[in-house]
This record gives sequence, C-alpha cells and structure tokens, in this order.
Amino acid sequence: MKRFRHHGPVSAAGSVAASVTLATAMTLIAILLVQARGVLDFGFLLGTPSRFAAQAGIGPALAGTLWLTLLTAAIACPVGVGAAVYFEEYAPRTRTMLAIESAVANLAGVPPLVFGVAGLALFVRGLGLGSTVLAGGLTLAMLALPTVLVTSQEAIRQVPTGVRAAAYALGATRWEVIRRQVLPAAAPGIVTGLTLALARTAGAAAPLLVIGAASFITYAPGTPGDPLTALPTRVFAWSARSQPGFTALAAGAGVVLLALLLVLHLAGMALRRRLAGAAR
Amino acid sequence: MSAPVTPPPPAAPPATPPRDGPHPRAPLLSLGDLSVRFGDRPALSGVSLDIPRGRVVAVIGPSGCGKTTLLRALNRMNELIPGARTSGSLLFDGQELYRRETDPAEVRRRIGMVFQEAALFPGSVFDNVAFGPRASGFGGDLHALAEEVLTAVGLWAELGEDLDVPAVSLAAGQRQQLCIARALAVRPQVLLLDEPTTALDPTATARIESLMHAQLPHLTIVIATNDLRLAARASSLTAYLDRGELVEYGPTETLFTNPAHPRTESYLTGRIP
Amino acid sequence: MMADGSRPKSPEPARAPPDGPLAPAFPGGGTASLALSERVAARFFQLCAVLAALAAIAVAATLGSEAVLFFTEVSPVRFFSELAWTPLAEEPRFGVLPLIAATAQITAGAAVVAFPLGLLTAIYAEYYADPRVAGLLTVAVTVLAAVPTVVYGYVALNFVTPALRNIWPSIEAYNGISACLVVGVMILPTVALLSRGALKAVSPSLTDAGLALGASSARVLVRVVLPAASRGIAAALALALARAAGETMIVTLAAGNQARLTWSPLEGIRTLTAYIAQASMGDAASGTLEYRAFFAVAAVLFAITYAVNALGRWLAGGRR
Repeated sequence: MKRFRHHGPVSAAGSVAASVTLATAMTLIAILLVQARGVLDFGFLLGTPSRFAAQAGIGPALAGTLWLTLLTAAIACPVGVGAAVYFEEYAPRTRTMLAIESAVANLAGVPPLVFGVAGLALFVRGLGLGSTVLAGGLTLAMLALPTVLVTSQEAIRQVPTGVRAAAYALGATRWEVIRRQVLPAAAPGIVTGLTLALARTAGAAAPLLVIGAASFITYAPGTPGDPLTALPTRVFAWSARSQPGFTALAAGAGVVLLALLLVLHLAGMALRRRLAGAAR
Repeated sequence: MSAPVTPPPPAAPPATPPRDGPHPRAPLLSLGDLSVRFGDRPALSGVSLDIPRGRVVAVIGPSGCGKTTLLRALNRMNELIPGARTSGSLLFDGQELYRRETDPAEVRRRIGMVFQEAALFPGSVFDNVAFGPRASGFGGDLHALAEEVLTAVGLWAELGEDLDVPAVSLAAGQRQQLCIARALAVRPQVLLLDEPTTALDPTATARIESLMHAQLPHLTIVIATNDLRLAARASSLTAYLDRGELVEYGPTETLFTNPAHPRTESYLTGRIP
Repeated sequence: MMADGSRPKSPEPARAPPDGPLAPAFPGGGTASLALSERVAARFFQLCAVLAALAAIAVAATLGSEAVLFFTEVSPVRFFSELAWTPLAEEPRFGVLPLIAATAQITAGAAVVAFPLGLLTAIYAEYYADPRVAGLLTVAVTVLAAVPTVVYGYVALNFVTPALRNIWPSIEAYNGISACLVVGVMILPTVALLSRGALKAVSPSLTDAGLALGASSARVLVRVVLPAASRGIAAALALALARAAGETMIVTLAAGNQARLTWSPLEGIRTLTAYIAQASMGDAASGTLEYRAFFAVAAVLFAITYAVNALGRWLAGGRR
C-alpha cells in the first residue's frame, strides 16, 4: 500500500485530511461516552421509558430492536441471497432479466425513509398490521433486501468461472455446483454483505418513525404483533428534548445502539473468518 | 478434395475388451455436421468426423479457430455460455447426445474435460478428487478411488500418499495433474484436454505428455493444442481446424508429413496464407 | 475440405441408437439434473428472485399510485413551480421547490465537507501512510460508517450547533450549516471507502511506469492515478450524494422544519426528507390530500436518489 514517499503538496493535504478524519471519529466517540457516563447501568438497560429522566430506561426499545433485527435477518437473508443465486447462476442473460436485476439493485441507494413510506402504505395500512413489530420487520426487510442482493451477487461473481466450468465438466448438476463450490467460496463475502445490511437496518430510525414507532412503550414486545418500539427511535425521542437529563439518556441509548452494531460487526467478522478458513 | 478423411482402422483391435455396447471398431464419438454459434458469430461450421475408441486425437489450428468450441461441444459445455447455439448431431456409442431429454450432467460424466487453467477447488487434494464421484452418486470407497487416480497421474507418490495436502500448495504442473486425476475419478470414457500444457513450463508439459503416452486403458483422449510437436508425438489422429471449419483429418503422421490440403501445409510450415 | 459430404465412416455401421436418454453413469447413482432436489433448488431460487422483484415493484407502485392521486388534485405544474409549501394552511399550497432547495443546500454543503476530506484520506491511506496509520484510518472510517444517523443528528443538535454559536452568535437553534457539516461527516466513509477501492483497482505497473519516467509522486497521482480511477471515484461521489440527499434524522433534528427559500445557512430549513418524517408522524388519515402529499414528496425523493444511484452504478461498471 505505501508506495510513495512523503513530500509534496498531495502528501501534506492528505495528512491533514487524514488527521481531520481521525480526530472527528475520536471526538464523536468521546462526546458519546462522556455524555453517557453515569447513565449506563443495568437499570437503564432493563428499565422502561419515563417522564423522569433519572428513572428512564431502554428495555422495551432494546427488545424491539432485537426483534426487528431477527425478523429482518429471517426474511431478507434467504430471499436476498436466493435471488442473487438466481440472477447469477440460473437467470438467462436476456435484456429483460438484466433490467429487472438492475432495477432491484438500484434500490440499494434509495433512502431508508422512502421504504418507511412504502411500508406505511403496504403493511401498516394495506395489510392492516398497524404499527407493530411485524410491520417494522417487513419494512426493514424490504430495506435490507437490495443491499443483501447486491453484495451477494458481488461475492458470487468473485468465484472464478474456471471453478464452475471444472465442476460442470465433472458431471455435477447446477445445484451441486452451487451447493458445493459456488456458495462455500462466496460465503465470506455474502456474510460481509449480510452484516452490512443488518447493521444498516438495525440503526435506521427514519423508516420506523414513518410507520409509527411509538416512543412511549412501557413494556417489551413479546410477539411480532406487539406495538413497535426500537432503539434508534428512542434516541430520536430523547434527542429532541432539550432538558439536560434527556440529552444524557439519548447519548446512553446511542452508545448501546452503537455497541450492538459493533457486536454485529464482530460476529460477522468472526463468522467470515471461519468460513474463509473452511473454504481455503 | 482428396483429403484422407477416413482414419485407417486400428492396426490391432483396441486393448479394450468388447463391451456390451456397439461393435468395438465402431467410432466412439461421431460428429455429424456439428455447428456452434455464439449469438450471431459462428464458431464452428459443419464439422463431421469420427473419433475411434481408445485413441488419442489431436485438434490443432491457429488461435481462435474453434478448437476449444469443438471440445466443449463434445460434452455439451457450450450450453453454459449464454447465447450459444449448437446444431447437427453428436453420437456417442451410437446414441445422440444432443437430445432435449438427455441430461448434460450424464454426458459430462462419460466425457470429462480438463481446461487450460487448472482451476482447483478450495480444500485438499482429496476434496478435489472426491467432488466428481460424489456428484455422480458414487457409492464406493472414495479413498481407494483417490489413490487409484492419483497413482495413474503420478501424483500419489509425489504427495507422500497424503491426501490432505491443500490443493493450492501444489506446483503448476502438479495442479494440472490433479485436474486430470479429478476428471479420471468420474471414470469417463472420453477425456477432453483443452490446451492442458499451454500454461505450463517444459518440465510440467513433459509430465502431462507422459500421461497421454501411458495409454490409460479404456480411455479415448481428444486434445486441443497449439503445441504441434506435442500433437505429433502424442496423438494417432489429428484434425486441423481453421476459422471454425475442419480442413483436414487423418493419421497424425500423414497429416504432418504429407498434408493433403494447402491450408494445412501453410499452417504447419508457419507460412501466412 | 470435408464439405463434400464424404464424412468419415468406420467400416462397420454403428448399432441402431437405443431410444431414450442416457442411463446414470453409476448404477443406482440417480443424481441426474432432473432429480427432485435439483428442481426444488431451482424453484426456490426463482421464487426468491420473484419476491425481490415484487418488493421493488411494490415500493415503486405504492409511491407512484398515491403520487398520481395527489397529482390529480394538485397539478404537477403548480407542484414544481410554486414557491411555498404550506400543506396545512387554510388555503394549502404545494410548491415543492423550497423542499428541493433545502435538500440541495444540505447535499451541496455535505459534498463540500466530504469530497475533499474523503478523497484525500483515501489517497493518503492508500499511497502515503505506513501500514499502522493506514489501519488506524480504516478503523476510524469504519467507526464513522457504523454510527447510526440518529446519533449523528443528536450530536449535530446538541454539540455542533452550540459550538457554531460561538462563531456566529445569530445562528438559529435549527440551521442548515450544522446539518451540512454532520451529513458531510456521515457520508465521508462512503467517499473514503469507495474511492479507496477505486484507487486500489489502479494497476501498480501504471504508477511504476510513471515513477520510472522520473515524475514526482504528486505528479503521478494527479496525472496517472486519478485519471485511471476517475470513473470509480465519480461513482463513489454519486453514491455519497444519493445518501446525503436521502438523509433524514440529521436534518430532522438539526436543520429544523421551516419550509422556506433561503440562502443563509444559519437559518432553519426543511428538506424533502424532514417534511416526510414530520408529516408521517402527524398521523394523517389515508386518502387525505395531506397523506398523499408526502407520498408525492417521497416519490420525488425516490426518483432523485434512484437516478443518482443508477448513475453511480453505471459509472462503477456494475455489470460484467
């Protein structure tokens, strides 16, 4: 990576930019940790929202986010990876098919908010699910799907065509080629994409606000039919209140959310490493 | 056109014991007016030839002449390429392979193929050898089978009889040997070798060539190659292909020493026509 | 030539071809392509693709149909030409331009922050930094990418705006510039990670060739590396722009909700996204003009970000 020696204007500008980037990241984490200190304890993690900052907790929101992530993963992962396999290994390379494929893939760049608007009309009102955990899970699954699809396709495309040809030439059927060669080889890349998509949806507040995530749910959702509440919308509700106690609560909930995403990333990395080891 | 297109019958009946198929001297593969197009680009135009069983047949010709397409047509690999269209007939033991209801996977189990690039599967040497038999529903002893085919290609002793060596740790020549062993493990009747030595240095080429001289029993080999000396040494019949057309087909010695067609001669002597 | 039809024939004719397809190569080894597992797998993957396509169609159709209903009541000409957005007023006006202008202000401001910072960080990490510093930068950029946007919004409202008040005492509690800065930080990882990917794709032999001609490293970068990576970098910037335009939580929390046309970055503004978020929280009943209005705005946002994203993917050469 390091190829050039330090001198000249590009190097100077680059080191300034890199320092700013580094400082920004550190400042951000420092602000959150300083603000959240004194808030983070078991009472906060397990407690329920309250009008009194000192008694408030994130229990229901935390449970809601875990539910949502589980539902999203259960829907978007199989459908997204399966569709990627179809487009890469089965679909005829016709113009129509390529058009469908890129139409879905381009959704990966559409803002989460827009999926919330669609989810409101489709699930909350259309299917009459109301503002429930299930409606939230379905909405977030739609949001995650294009990202899962695009990253899985990318991973499947990285499998050398020579491996496929060799497997077919040995008399393997399509499903055997996919099951024994393509998917194992693409698995690390697919896992990276899944982690990315799930982290993106677990942290998304906008679509949940649109479909009516209530900020004041005092019991943890036990089934997908229970009212929707989640960590990101909890951060939002507390951020918008200017009383000092609530600012700290928002930071605390934000730190917990960030920690959750970090755990997701680390789990993804560990799984990726295992799969890459198995495929070597 | 007085091309000696009919290969003479083998001097001695092939070592293969008569099987319950057609007559042993009937061609194993018979191509009738076989053509392949990719989209609207013709790659192979009306090739007709017979491949007798138990022989090594070389396919030579300039780059892009359709050698690879011809080989891939023999085990229906072309249909994996989008836009490929094949017409004509291909008889294997008298049976048409290009029938709608014929399973291409079954075709490829009888007619195996090894490519120019040794594309190894991830995992060990054993994983590579076991993939094909497993996919074909082989129910026997995979370790014994692996030992047999690795011995046949000369890798068994070289690997110290260790099947758990990661395949990627092999040298280039060994990789291609492993690819051949892997193909043999499905017990094909025909093995298609598509420029198997092009990516190899002379030492590794010699290893692969010695395999062809080993006269693997029951095996018919079709090799596409740019290496004329390899073709001359290893094959008993040679086909010269140019721009997707079969120009000349006959006994290797005749074709190399006394080509019937001027295009063959100019190719062999390196003159630009 | 063989074309004269004298195709080689062996002396003995082949036995009459038996009817039917090939039997399995191994007796009892019935794993043919037509086996049940084969068909089930094919059906499953096809079903997944159909579901994915249906999800995409459902999103587009939902937005589209409500937006069309909206436009039967409010003409598109008025929608795109009026200068005021007051859907709840006695005489509601639906001029989307103030919202688009606010989104453009935020997007442009974020680009001013993120493009140079992200691109230079990528260049520094790829070509100058020693491995440890490069690794540290990767961690920093990954952290910035992992922070949820609502947390960014919290920081913008509670820390960036108060800090800016030290510079401009007249700054409003909700203002454009705080959101611009923080949205810029939010899209910085997109710029940095994707353009570093584009730089990595430039063959080292190209830079070696430049250096071998005696050019300075800065010159090689500007004249050789950047042009070679330009499509990938442009794609990174396009995708970052789409993310900035669609950002909701930062602008809702920090930029406010006043739909007005203003050049001043110190005043509160209302973007397309902030309007949608605010309007949807108002619990508008299905079928009302107010409900349809935010679908129309969502459709505009969808169209803009979809187009920019498609441009980015095209630049990146998404297909083989």
